[in-house]
Amino acid sequence: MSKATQCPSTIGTHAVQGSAPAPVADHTGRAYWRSLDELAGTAEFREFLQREFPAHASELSDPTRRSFLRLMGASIALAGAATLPGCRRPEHAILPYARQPEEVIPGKALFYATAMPLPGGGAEGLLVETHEGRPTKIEGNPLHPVNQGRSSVWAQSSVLDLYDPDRLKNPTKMGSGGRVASSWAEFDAFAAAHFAQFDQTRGAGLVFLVEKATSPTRDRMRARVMSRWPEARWLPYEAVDDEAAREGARTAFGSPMAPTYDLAAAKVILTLDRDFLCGEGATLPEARGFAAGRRVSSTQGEGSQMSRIYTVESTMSLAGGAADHRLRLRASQIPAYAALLAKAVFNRLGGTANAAIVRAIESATAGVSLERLDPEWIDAVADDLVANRGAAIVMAGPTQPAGTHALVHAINSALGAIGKTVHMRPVAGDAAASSAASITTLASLISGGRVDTLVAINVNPVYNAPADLSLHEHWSRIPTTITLSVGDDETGALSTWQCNGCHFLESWGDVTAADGTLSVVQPMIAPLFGGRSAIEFLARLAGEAQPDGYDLVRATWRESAPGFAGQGEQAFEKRWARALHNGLVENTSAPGANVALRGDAVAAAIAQSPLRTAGEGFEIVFAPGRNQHDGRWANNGWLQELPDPVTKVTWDNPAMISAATARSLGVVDGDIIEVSLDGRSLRVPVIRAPGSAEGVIVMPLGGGRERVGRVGLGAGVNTFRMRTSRAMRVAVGATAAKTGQSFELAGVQSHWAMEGRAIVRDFDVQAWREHGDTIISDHDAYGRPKELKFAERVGVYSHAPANKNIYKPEQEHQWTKRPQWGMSIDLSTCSGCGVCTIACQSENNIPVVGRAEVIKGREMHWIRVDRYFASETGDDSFDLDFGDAGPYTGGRKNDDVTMAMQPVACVHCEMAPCETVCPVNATVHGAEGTNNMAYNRCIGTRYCLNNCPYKVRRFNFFDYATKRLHGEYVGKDLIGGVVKNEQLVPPRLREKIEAGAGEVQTMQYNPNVTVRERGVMEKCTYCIQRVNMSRVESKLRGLDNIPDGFFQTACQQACPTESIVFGDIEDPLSKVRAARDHARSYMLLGYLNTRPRTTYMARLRNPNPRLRTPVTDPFHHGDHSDEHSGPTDTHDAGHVMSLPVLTGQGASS
Amino acid sequence: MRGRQGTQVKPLFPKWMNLLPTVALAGVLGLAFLLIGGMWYYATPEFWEVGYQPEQPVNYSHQIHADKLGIDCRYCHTFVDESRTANVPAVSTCMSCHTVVDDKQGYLRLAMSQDGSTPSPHWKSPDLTALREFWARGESVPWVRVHKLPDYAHFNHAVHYNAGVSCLSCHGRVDTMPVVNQQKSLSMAFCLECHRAPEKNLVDVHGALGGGAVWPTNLALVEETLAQPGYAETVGKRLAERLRNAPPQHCAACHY
Repeated sequence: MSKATQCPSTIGTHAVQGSAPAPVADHTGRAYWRSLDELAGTAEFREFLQREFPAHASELSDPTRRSFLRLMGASIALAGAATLPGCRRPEHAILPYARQPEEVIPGKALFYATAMPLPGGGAEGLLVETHEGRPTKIEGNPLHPVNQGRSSVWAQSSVLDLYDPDRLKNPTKMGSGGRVASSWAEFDAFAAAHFAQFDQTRGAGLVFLVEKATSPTRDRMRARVMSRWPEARWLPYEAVDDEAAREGARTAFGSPMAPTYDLAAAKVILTLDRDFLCGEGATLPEARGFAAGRRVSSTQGEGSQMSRIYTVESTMSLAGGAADHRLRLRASQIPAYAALLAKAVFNRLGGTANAAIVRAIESATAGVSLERLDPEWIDAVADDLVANRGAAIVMAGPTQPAGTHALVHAINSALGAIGKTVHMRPVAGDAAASSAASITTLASLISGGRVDTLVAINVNPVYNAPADLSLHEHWSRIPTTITLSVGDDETGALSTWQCNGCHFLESWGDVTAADGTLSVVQPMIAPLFGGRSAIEFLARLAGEAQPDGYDLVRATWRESAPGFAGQGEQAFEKRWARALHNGLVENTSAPGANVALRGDAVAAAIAQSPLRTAGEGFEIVFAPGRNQHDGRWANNGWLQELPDPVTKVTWDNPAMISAATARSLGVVDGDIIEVSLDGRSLRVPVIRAPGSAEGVIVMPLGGGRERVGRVGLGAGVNTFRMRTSRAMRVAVGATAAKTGQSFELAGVQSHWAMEGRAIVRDFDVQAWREHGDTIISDHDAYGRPKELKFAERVGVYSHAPANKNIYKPEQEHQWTKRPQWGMSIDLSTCSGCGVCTIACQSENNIPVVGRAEVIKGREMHWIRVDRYFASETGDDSFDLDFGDAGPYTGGRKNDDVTMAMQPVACVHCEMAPCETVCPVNATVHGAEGTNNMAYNRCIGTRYCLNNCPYKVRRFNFFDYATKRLHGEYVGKDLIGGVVKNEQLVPPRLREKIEAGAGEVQTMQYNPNVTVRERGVMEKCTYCIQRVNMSRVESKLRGLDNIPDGFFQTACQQACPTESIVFGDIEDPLSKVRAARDHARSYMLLGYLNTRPRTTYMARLRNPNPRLRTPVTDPFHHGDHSDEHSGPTDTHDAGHVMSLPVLTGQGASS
Repeated sequence: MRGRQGTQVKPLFPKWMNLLPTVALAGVLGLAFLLIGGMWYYATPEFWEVGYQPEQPVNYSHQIHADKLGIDCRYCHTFVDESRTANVPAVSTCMSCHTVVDDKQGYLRLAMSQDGSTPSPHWKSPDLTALREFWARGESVPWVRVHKLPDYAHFNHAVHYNAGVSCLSCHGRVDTMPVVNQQKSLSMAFCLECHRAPEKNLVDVHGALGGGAVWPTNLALVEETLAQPGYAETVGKRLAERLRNAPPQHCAACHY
């Protein structure tokens, strides 16, 4: 390759014509790829890769140049007019408080504890950062046993929901010509008269359909409502409900229960279609336990031990990606696997097992075998489980029938897990109710004409009820329907009254977390739009005149809260103040119940459920959206734009199918298929999700909201339309066909790809134990000594000279003065959930850009999570079958995959390539080793992005931050006649336009971070605002240095698995220093000599030698000329920083 | 030059026009010089910002309160030593004194006539009436901002105060101003000047050198102290050395 084509920007199309190489194997014996197109090396992908932004990324959406010029003229004229009042800067008012509140120090954030009720019950304990009474950032409450300072994606993004401008602002009622605005006063007058009539009938005809909640105060309100109207029906309902698990526990133990798992104490974990790392059922303690079990510090002794995870699942989950062994099975076949495994386990346990269960399994599995199943998947797993009795966990997911759950409890109990690694906690009250029963009951009541008035609280059945119940058609047959919800929804739109509710950040309440901890829901701000919380709403219906959430909660606690009930006034107040401060009542976590397995009941359940082994036709799995859940947060831009952790698709919920299934259907990503089942059919775009079982169509729920607000409208497809009350989770016997249409999915999977090099490093723990302590002394090509530790021995860095330094020796900084910031990310424990992305977005005022912009590659996330697939077996032979379906749908082997997750933000190179190319010195190095952006200097050349090998810089193509979503400006009407493209409105004019208008979204902004404008480059700053604040704080406290752990970056703070460590690398005692010095650490693209401050710790896996031979010597490999060609060429050509974008054949062509 | 009929044709342009390109070039250069020089000098915060003295909604006088009555700056700007912002006082802070005057005549002699019998004309001051109106309505006073940094420049009052940088250094003798105006340019050059040589602006706020503390809010004393010959080289230098980290000069110290 000539010098001229060496520069990435000149590589152009001719390189594409070279034979497209499959991704280059790194030296861990695995090839990683991020999309099937990349694996196949399609021409489209190659071209895509060689642009630093996708095609048209820098073009204006507005078509003609003439209109642009006209527009500019108008803008300038308006800008002049707008600034006329003075040539000096605009006058700016300081508005201090009228009455200074106690404890508020302007300019200093205050943190208050609260709790977020989770869908279906349970809670997360949170700490909310407020600036002068304005909540801006959610953090996990360190005192809360569930969170321990960490938080989930849902909690992190909840603050944006509070400021959703599309929220309901007042009650509305159905008038003759449509909905008309009303008021709470009018509603109260109506309700007083209307509900009085039920006093005679004792509430007959009155139905309450309520969301599930584990709130003592709401339980009290329920009791009050039901005592006023004993004949009324109270139906708790969640669109996504784990009923089978409760049923299974009821079968096994006699009462509905929910298991909690102590993964940290487990050595062997088998999960049957349950993703304990992300989405439904996943909890922060489980992610924490997973990480604790997988964190390997040393090569010998206790620190070298790690848990082993087996997953058997129908589609790729995060747990499946993190597992050591993964088996693809249809959800309907997993019960058969569970039975076969149970048989093997019980056989091995011999006489200690329950005889009735053994007999039932024997007869159920007689003659049952799963096609193509490696028998070691039964034997080796059973041996492993039995060998680790007392430290083993088997868990079943929501797709599994109750019988399988009961069987899993029986296995756990036989393995001695119950009470040790699995704790059963009773579920009572609303949480124990069956949602399916609730909604079918409601449907039958409606069709029987027995519903006179329906009160729906925070539920949206018109959107998400099972399709066979046709609730959306029957809803308007109910004489009076009243809904309470925070946001607009389909149900409210059809109802007689639609009342505006309160976000949890603006209402009082209480909630019991999954472990039983009683937590306080404390408002951070007065209700923005005057809504009412559910408890206030119910209390008023029950007859209280002026119910106040605060009084209601306190009254409940006086009555029944542990440690509060029966206390004197003074003791109560003291404890209440303490609970408010901590956000919870200490020591209310319920211990696991003492349970005894009811063998006969389990045996009967096993006998009753026939096992399905054949996998014919298509099978639909209804899975709650990993980010969207059941669609309740559809209007949250952060969640919509957060890529699905596995498919990396934003703004949509395409059906996930395996590559082989796609090939048999003849479709590729984005093609629309028509799925039919029981006379219903739905057209959905598909995405090939490697790792799905053949014939399984996973339909994520939560898309296709029709009435939700500007953000969520039209995002995705409503898959609830295919779900019936008979098959709420898994529907078999579906058909699917290609439609010939396709749809452009906003995926980020191959944006910012860094193909082919040893980016992600992953070893088997056996290799680590053998070689972890070895340090190789070597010399690079310049004869300089080089020491290589374990993880550095693979990849280019190990056998090529580092690039020449782009800085002259005298320019080189001396990085010794404390503090010197650095970060380490442990890939062994990263689950890929994406909470770091949201935490960063919320902390750093990062805009949402929308679906169309994501397609153009303009997503703005400062920290992205790269997801890589790799062949699970280490077999790199790919079946690149050129089927009729179009290019490269891939072969079966591509579905037996594992995943590796890698969060990438700016790595803060000490020798930063971006800095040398900035013509205006806008990106420069700080004294503390961070690479900084001075936004006010940036003129938007984007040279820095071109020169960044990590592709972590983001450019503001438009004024995303100051723009209303979907291109709407507050004052659009005002300027609509003159300026067609409001994105070109100069900022000062916009200020004028927006002054005084409702800028509710900007209330979320962090006041300590500049809001960037159009044309400015931005990227991860290592949360420089927190660094600076900590420096000031430590100075004020008279500390010489900022102590380790004095502050955390936003991503570090949110990370549930504590995979991110940040601190001063010059502090010999800091955690980050230890992580950097660890043998598992390596630098991303270290051979470029950029000296990144963020280092990664190689991932370790713990394979069972009976299922896969561990790679004990990953360093010896065949011909690796691929690695050599890049940097060696580069060096020879004298191009100091040019990147070996093409490797292998491409580079030599 | 001869025409067809042999007559002398008058040249189209007079001879002096030959100078025109030179003159024009000189003119353009001169204009450019003036323009650049003009921008250089005038389009700077030093010219543009210094002296800004907007009319305030309440005619509050720092001179009366800080100088005549001797109230410390921190009585109203309470959190200057704790927070990044030196807060502008709430109306309640004003009223903590001015309500007392309402209720108990004679409590503040100043508000009364000399013999103490009737409220002085000052008491009837329309400025106080305006303040009371804000208070009665429960509204904050919309003070017009005088000292403004751009949004991308983050300044922290507390760390400067505690390092011994007086209010004086950036705000001037506010205690002598009946109406506040801007005294310093507050440009980046202004900031850097001090960050490069902090000793000229440091007073011993915590009394660390044993010579007794100098409150940065005691503007007259600070001015006198800083003006002592050789102060920067001796005391200032020692104070600067005591700063745990020298004032940062990298971009991200202020811009983020």
